[in-house]
Amino acid sequence: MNSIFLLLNLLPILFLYQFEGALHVSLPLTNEFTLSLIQTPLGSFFAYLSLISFLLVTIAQKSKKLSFSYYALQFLLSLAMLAIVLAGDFITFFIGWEIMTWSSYFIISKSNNMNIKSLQKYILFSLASAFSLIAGIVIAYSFANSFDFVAISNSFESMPFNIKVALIVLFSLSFFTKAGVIGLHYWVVDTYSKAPDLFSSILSAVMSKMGIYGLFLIYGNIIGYHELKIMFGTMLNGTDFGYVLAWIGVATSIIATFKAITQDEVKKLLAYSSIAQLGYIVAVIGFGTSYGVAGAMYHTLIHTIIKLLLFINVAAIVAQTGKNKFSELGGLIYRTPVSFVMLLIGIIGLAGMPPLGGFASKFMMYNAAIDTKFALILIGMLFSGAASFLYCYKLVYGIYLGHPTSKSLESTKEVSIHYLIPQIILALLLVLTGAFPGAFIKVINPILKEFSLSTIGYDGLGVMQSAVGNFNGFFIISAFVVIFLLILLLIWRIKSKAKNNLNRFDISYCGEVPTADTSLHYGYGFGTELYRIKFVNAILKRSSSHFYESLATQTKKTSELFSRMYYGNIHNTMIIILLFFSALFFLGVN
Amino acid sequence: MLEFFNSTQTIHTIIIIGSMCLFFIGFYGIATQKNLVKVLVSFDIMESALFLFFIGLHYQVGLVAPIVDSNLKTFTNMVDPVPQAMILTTIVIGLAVLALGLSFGIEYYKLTGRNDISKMNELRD
Amino acid sequence: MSLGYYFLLPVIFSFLTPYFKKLGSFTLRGSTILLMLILFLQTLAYTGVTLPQISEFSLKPPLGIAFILDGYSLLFLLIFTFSALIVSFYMVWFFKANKGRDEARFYVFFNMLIAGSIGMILSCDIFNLYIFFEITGICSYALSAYNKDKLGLESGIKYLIIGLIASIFIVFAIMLIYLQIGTVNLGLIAQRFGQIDPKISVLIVLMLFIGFGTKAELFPMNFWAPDIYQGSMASVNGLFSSVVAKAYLFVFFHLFYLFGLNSKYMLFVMVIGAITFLVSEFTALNQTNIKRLFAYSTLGQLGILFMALSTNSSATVSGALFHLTSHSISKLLIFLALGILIHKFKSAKIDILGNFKSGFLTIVLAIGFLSILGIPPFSGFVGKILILKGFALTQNYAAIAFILLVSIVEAVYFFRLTAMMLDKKRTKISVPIGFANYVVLSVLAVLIVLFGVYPSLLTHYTDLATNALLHPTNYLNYALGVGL
Repeated sequence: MNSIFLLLNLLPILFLYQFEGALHVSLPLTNEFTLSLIQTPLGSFFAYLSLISFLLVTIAQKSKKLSFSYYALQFLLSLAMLAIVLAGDFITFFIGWEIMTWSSYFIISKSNNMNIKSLQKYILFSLASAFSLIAGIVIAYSFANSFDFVAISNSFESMPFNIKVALIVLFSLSFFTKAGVIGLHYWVVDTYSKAPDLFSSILSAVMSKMGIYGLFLIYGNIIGYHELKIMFGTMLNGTDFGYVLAWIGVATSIIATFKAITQDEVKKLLAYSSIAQLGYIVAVIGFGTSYGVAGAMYHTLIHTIIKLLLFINVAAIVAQTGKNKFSELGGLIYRTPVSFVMLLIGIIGLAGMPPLGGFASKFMMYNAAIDTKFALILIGMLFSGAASFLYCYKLVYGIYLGHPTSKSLESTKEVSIHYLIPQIILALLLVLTGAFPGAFIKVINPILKEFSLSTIGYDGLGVMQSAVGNFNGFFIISAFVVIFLLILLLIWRIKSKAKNNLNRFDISYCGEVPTADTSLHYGYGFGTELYRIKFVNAILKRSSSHFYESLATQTKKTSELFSRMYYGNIHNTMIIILLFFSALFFLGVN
Repeated sequence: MLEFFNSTQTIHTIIIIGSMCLFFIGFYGIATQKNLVKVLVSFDIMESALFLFFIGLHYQVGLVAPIVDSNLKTFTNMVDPVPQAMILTTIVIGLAVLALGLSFGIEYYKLTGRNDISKMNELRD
Repeated sequence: MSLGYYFLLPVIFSFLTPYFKKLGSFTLRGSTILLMLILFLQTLAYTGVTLPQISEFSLKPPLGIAFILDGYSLLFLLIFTFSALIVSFYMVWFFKANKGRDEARFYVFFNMLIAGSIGMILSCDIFNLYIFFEITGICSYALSAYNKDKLGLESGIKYLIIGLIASIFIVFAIMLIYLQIGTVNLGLIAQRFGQIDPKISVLIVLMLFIGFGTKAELFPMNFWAPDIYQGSMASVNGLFSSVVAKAYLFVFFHLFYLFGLNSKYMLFVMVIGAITFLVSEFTALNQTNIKRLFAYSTLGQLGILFMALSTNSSATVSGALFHLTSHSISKLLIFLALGILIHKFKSAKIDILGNFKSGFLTIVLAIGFLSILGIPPFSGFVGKILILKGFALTQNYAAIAFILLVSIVEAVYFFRLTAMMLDKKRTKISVPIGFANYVVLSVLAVLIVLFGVYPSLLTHYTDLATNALLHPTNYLNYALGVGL
């Protein structure tokens, strides 16, 4: 069954053999609605992201016994995402959006860890996002008299200012919810951590990107960065609007980074890290400059690759050991060396360290902030980037380094090959994206044209232009590989001479000798010391959950209040009807 | 002196006043009575008031009933037959509903021993 | 076929029921299915002819009694005959599963209920309309009390009392109309309604509003409705929700637009509809009885329909009629599926949704839920988006925001039920589903999906209906006998 759906996943490529214009379908649904699919560079960028992600995840799923309905729903989900990114009008977009919502809901509900509360959280936030979207759509329709992107874009200029603002707010809220901007991220962590392990990678790598696609579509295509500049005015080299958005993004990324560091559950850490990384994208998406868009695009690509890699890696470990907490894992480096290397590559990318793609994309975003002269934003981004080293370290240390926390971990075998194949492919992709930034610029230049922004120069495949000079990814990676090989050689030389006969119990503290039960793994406690820093403590203690929980309580109370009216006394009902009549009569006659 | 009562105006006034009294008696019954049978009877009184009101207002002095027999040779000197037909139908319907209601009431009383409509509250959450 | 047979045939079958009963239960069930099939096929045949169609009895209108079928009533006729057909199939399973029930008693009232509902939408004479109103009423009281247990009888009595109140208001209104205008023909009333003394006309309108509004379950008059749904059988609930309530709604808006009340009372009906929607959806959150919960959901959807149908704009009304059709199908599906569960578990608590094991039922129920919530690609979505689009065209953004916000509340309980169905941790008991039910539920589910992905099938009829409802010139001509 896996192979069948693998082939099915390849099918859409037949229609997307080009980057632009290979697909142009329009299908009349009723007199008023037409479903139209049209391939734009922006759409195909996201379409390829989603296609490749689904393909790789399906390969990894070969290692599990999954039901037909699971695969069918997942295939439906992939089609829905294609419909979203290839839509030429809002009705198609919305249909794709809603099918994405419910098909993912049914997949998530198949997880064994799932409970009703988390499912409700997920679906209600998704629906709130969808309803905010549809409100925006129909308001736009009332002015453009069409659901078509082009028609709405053309009539946007002539709308009243308050309607424009309302549209921007409604659409942004909808897409922010999907991307998990702080305050609207209440569902993200619970859902990512409780969903089926391999499906979490889809949620984080692809589904959250649909929010990013929506933001690009609205800001870049429908409204247009130029129009945003006219509406809200400019600030330094960017726009006022972009500046506000940048603060939202930076706040998201800083808060989520700190929260990530303190998590004990592996997937929760990854979920917060996902929120933080999307925060970066939100931060630069509104700049309205070529570098801003390029940075956001680049990071979208890199984040998809990294999160797929990490989630698949963690899913493999969870499947192999049955444990999903840092406090229960540790010391797997000798048991699962390949997985360790893959995760290492992943976190190098995640932390934005050279020479991999993660560095190139972060560089592009910093570069965009320098270009617009938003210095404080740059500082915020750098701060959050530096803090993200901590959770990256926790990830690798907690799982692979230190001592195993339990006996059962010592007999762990290397994970199944089906998990490793996609990881290796993704690691290679990460290397390639780092080595050939010029190739990436070549890909996104048509998108910049689509947004009517100036294109970015590149020199061959290895070099891209930036505000602070050329960036030669190929040189960096070559230099790193050379240095890495040299160091490896050195270590190998030294190690072969070193003695390796130490036992983990060859230590004693305060005169006590640890027994087999004593945990010597301190990785999971890592991050709790953050609570001692006042500023960070204040951030960590705050949570949007109080707000949403009190909202739920209030709704429940209202419901109780209303249901007291329906207490089934027919005599009183009669009297109410008669009184209502009399009241209306007196009102009506006068 | 009795000619005064023979005018259409007076008859209509009396009928309006009478049917209104009847109507409000029924209304009072609905508003205060909780016994199912009494409620049904109140409804019936209200309906009767309506019938009286409607039929009465269509009566005019000197006109005959719209029945084709020896008294009625031409179709000119009769009261409007439509209200009478309508009321006859409505009476039949009212009777059917009343019968159904009473049979429900009897069955319910057999089961529970109650006939107070305000205490019929087993249907609730 | 004369339109009169729509009323006559069910009545004849209804009267013949005791005879059919003697011939055995197969004949009894088969005859009802046959009857409903005939009615449905006849209605399908009417979709091909030019509308309106008229059938007069004895005298020509406006003096005589006539049935008129225009675009508006055609849509409802399709819904009613289709629902009746579905329910008659379903009852085959029901009576097989519940041996020893008095089948004849059900079929007598069932056939008469359909006759009455169809009569209400075809009649072009307000007094006949009242008679059909009462026939429908009496049959629904009887069906509601069909089980003859405490709950059933209680709901029957409650329904009957409410019916009495509504009928007094309507009789009063009809009498006032006759006193003022001297006719019961809808065409003549519509023509002369503007000439009535405004005070009297307000009184008439209010009485009709209270009468039909009570039966159509509008907010301050609907405190009885959940009780009725709770006390009746699930299949009867399906009928109430997709046929009876819709028939009263039909009459409400038929008179609303025919008498030209749209300009004066539009806002009032809209606000009442909005309050109904709000209160019902919030109340539904707090329910533990499944039938009661879906009763509130029905009330809520009726609230949306009242909001949208009163707007007088063809876009919104057409959307509302689409939504109405889709709601009828979805609610029928849900109630019939619940009937299977309630029969199995002998309980109507919400928990039964978490305790059954049947992939088929889970899928069809999920389709029903998603459709009512208005999620693509199911038919409810098309209805909802058309309604929202209509409101957008009249720049009524408050209504859009209101509908969407309350819809989230609606989603809370619908998805709570879905999550219960999907919850693996509960003990699951497999539920037998009869062959007839597989057919019935699949047909409904397929229709929901079909109307969702190919709405043109239905929009043709909703557009016809909208045109007939908002511009009743043709209808009036036929009702007045002009050009016959």
